[in-house]
Amino acid sequence: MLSDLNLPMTRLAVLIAAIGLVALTALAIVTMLDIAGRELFGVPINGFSDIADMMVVFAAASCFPISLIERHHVSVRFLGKLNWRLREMLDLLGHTLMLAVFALMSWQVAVYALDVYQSGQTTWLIRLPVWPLWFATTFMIGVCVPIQALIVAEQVGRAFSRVPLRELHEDGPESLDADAGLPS
Amino acid sequence: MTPIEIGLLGFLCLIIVIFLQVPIAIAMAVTGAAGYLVLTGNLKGMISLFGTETVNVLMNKDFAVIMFFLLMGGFAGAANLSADIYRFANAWMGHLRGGLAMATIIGCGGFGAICGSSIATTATMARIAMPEMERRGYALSLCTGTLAAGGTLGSLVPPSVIMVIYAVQVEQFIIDLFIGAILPSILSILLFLIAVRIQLYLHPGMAPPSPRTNLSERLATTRKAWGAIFVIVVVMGGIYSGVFTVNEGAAVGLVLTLAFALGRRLLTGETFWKTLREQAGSIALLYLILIGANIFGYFITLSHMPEATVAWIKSLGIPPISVILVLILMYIALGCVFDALSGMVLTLPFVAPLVSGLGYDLVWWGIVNVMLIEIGMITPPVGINVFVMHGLRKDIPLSTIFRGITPFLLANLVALGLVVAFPDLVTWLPKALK
Repeated sequence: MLSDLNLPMTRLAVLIAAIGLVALTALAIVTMLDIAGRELFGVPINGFSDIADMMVVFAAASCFPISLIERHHVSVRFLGKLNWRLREMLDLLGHTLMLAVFALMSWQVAVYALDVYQSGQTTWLIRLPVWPLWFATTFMIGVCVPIQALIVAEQVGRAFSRVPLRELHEDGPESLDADAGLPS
Repeated sequence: MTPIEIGLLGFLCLIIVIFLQVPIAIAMAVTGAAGYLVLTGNLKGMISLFGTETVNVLMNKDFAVIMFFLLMGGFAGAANLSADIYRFANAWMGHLRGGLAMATIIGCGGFGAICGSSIATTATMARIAMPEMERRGYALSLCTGTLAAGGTLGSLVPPSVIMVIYAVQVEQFIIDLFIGAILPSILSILLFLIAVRIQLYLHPGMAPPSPRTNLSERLATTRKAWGAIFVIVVVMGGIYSGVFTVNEGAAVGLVLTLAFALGRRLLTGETFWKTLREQAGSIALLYLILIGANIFGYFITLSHMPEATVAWIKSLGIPPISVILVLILMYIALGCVFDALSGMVLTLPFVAPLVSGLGYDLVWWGIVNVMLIEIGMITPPVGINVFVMHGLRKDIPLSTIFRGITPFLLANLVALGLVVAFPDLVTWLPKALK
């Protein structure tokens, strides 16, 4: 978790995830209505698949910020067992690479969102404009960049600490960094 | 450099980066992007990979199933459906010697049919079954081994998140994997039950006999379990009969489990947000792994390494089954040092073309892969289900849990051997139902 100093970021991430997953739950309910309409009365909801496709993108992207804050990663943690400073330095490497990947992802998704906006792309059936979805997605992935930057900053402090620090990840030699872990 | 050399070098770099403690998803993305740059010299193309692959994964409708199934599992736990299944199995089997352990295995299999995740199955069932087994004087190694191993059924019993990922990555129908997994799931459950009985035959003191439940109690617990049975029948029945698509079935399952949690007044605002928050982390983790795997897979495909590997192995004239056995040994070894699901995702770009190139069915290989992941989840030193169990009961030494899972590990190997020797165990049912 980020330190309390970064509570606003945590709150924002929780809010984004909550909106995304409540939207997904609502989508599941509407899916059931669509099935009922289709199977019982032969009347599916018009354009439902267009909205469903968009909602799925939104829900998935909404989960990224909170997962960074709660450090849901899978990593192999053998080398770090040798020495606490090596462990923290390697974690710094991992967090920095993750920052770079999220920066590239948000930049390139923004480029895609802009393309979609300029081309006036719409959904297939009910011709909804797609750009608001991709602008929102860009925002949600973009929020990950400052969050991960804060995590890197905290990790710098850990890597150069004067006193030995306890392992943040204590689930096992190969760690799932938060209690939910990899859902396999 | 030849394609095989480039691909192998890329894979070697990936392993090194992973052992430098870099999260596996990020290691795949970074190595794949670097490999692409080496192959093409196109920096702009490399940067754009991060956009195209992110957009492709986010827009993939099949992956939505993962989100629905994860939330469904979360709400099923909140609705106590897992406890109902366990009590139901316990009422009918609890009086047998080792009956509680056997009920736990059936409970894990039943909850796996609602949940789709091994870790969630272990964690959920441990909270319900562990106190009961301890109260009846069961040996700790038997209790923890049963739960850690039984939990792996969450991945094998359909619906399964791993099967969805595999099916999308190798472009097979998700439903074929779900149907193909039915017989191997039943086989695994039976072998786990046999493993319990053999342990008790050798060490009768591990589980004292329990009193028989009377018929009215049995019927009462059966009636109480209707919710779980209803969800399983509607979701899987709807999917298999073709009334729903897999996506729709998963959505229906989510709504039903949510309705049960609400109807039973077990879903407070707090548990609702907790479930969403826990599953959000898992969803993002899987999506990030898939984005990383797509970038790495793009590089591997571009290197033409898979085709070159298949051609090379065919030129050696080795019998295909020997190649399969080597792959199985490789995955078992990989599962000893590595998260087994990540191992599957990052090796699929090489292995899937190889397996299909040798003439094997990719649905069959998918089930073999899931069984290998099950084995990886309980294999020392990094079996994740063992650590989940240990996380829940820190007072029980890891050595006790690993000792407890040994008979189940052997049962898993027997099940795997049978599925490899008789592929029809997987392929017959999907064909018969078409």
